[in-house]
Amino acid sequence: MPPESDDKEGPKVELDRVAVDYPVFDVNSASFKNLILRAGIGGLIQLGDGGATVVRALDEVSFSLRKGSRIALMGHNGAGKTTLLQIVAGIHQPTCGTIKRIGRVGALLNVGLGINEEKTGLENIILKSTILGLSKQMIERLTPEISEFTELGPFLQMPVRTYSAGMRLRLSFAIATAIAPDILVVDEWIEFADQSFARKAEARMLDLVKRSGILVVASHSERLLNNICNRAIILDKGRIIYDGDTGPALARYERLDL
Amino acid sequence: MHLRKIHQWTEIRHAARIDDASQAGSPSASAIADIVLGLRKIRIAHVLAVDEVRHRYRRSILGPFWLTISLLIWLLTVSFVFSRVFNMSLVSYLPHVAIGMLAWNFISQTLGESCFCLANNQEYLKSAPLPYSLFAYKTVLYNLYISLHNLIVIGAIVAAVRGEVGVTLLSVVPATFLLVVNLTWMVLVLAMACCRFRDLPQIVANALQIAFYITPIVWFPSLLAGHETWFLKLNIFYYMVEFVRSPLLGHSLSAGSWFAGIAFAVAGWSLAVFLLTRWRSRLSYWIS
Repeated sequence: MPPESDDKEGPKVELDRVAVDYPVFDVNSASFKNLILRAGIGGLIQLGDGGATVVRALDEVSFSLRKGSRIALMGHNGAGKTTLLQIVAGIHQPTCGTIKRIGRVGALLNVGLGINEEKTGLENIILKSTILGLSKQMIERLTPEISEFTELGPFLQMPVRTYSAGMRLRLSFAIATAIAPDILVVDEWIEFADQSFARKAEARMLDLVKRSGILVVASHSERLLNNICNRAIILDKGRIIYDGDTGPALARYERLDL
Repeated sequence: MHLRKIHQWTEIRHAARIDDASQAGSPSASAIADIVLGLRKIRIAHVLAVDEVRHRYRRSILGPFWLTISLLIWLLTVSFVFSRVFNMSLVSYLPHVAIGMLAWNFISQTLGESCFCLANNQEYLKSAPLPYSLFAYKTVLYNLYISLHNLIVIGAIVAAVRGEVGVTLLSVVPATFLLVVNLTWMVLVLAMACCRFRDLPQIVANALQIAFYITPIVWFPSLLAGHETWFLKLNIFYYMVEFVRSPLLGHSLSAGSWFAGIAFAVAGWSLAVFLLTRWRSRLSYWIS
């Protein structure tokens, strides 16, 4: 276990030969009755993923991120980007291999994840901040700042179900980045923001990583790559096929199509 | 062995400090760190529970009291019929079934909801590395707050009928605590198991129905005099109901009941830790 002094070096993420298997349960393997029946006929009781079909989403993924690492994660749909982001964020645990993570995570994996449709924008700010672990006083202090960053104005008094996708994105982004996380994990939906908010969001991300830590963002946007990231990782079928400078990464990624 | 234990405790404390149970090292340390972190974050569970109670009020002015009203009608009907069946006066029968039902409603509704408490909160679980135990605590708290609504009304009726308040009443606090401790491990176990086995919620619903009949809620244990009572002694729900009923009716709890409650709690929490150790790293995949 890392001793105290490790924390003072700043945040870090270390993946060592991480593999992820997604279980796909059918009606049989997800049934408790069948489990008991099988045991009755003399089969083995398998409490784990027993009986499920397994899909390997990540394989042999190793890398190490230190303070100042700003990673662009690239790859086709289904290459394992989102899974890798979820592993880095601590939402999923690897099936094999290990991950060591030091630092507070801020994750923006899906628009409106953990946002209650029936509640107003303002209520959501308070509820989501509570779940993220902020104290009552902190929330009271931060709410005006978050509200302002969303630029949603009077819409904050309306239920979120009346929001457009772009408005939800503004709300989620503002909440997740309200207190500087040490490790910011962002999926590619950030590219769906309109021009003005995209610039604002980029500026904020850049500000956050400069101050504290690590950024991992799934993106193919050349601008984002050049403006923010200092390293690129390309995934293909769950394996890392490129890990290095951002310059050659785009060319390498385009060759993937061929 | 001893050294390993100490090492694990440092790991758990470390995980609690960095706010992520999965970073505790070994699976068993992660399981315990999950339970501890959930307790440390109990305020979140409280806020979510209160929010849900408020949501009930928003839909109607009476809010959760609608449930109390339907419970009252049920109680009056059952008391009217069964006090005659058992040849008892309404005054001695009504408090027994009223408080029994208050406790049973709390237990059965919590367990019924427990099956979905992780699945229904997957949005939160997918947005931050939160301890799973937190949502078990939330389910218990929410139902506890709803039950307090019932307690106000039913307590008033029982007080009006019985009209006596003794010292034994105070023991309702530690006894209810023991009830909650037992209920929480059940919620945690069912919450996890229902993610893995999709047909379990139905089985739980059926089991709860059976448990209602084999637990002395509408009937009296004394009616069993001269018969086998092993199914009563092994019935954890019997003790859980008595933890609320005996003190409120002015009877003191037997040492045996306390012992059984504690024994069930130790065994149950061990099972919860065992399953959390085995399943914790897979839960996030089962939920989605």
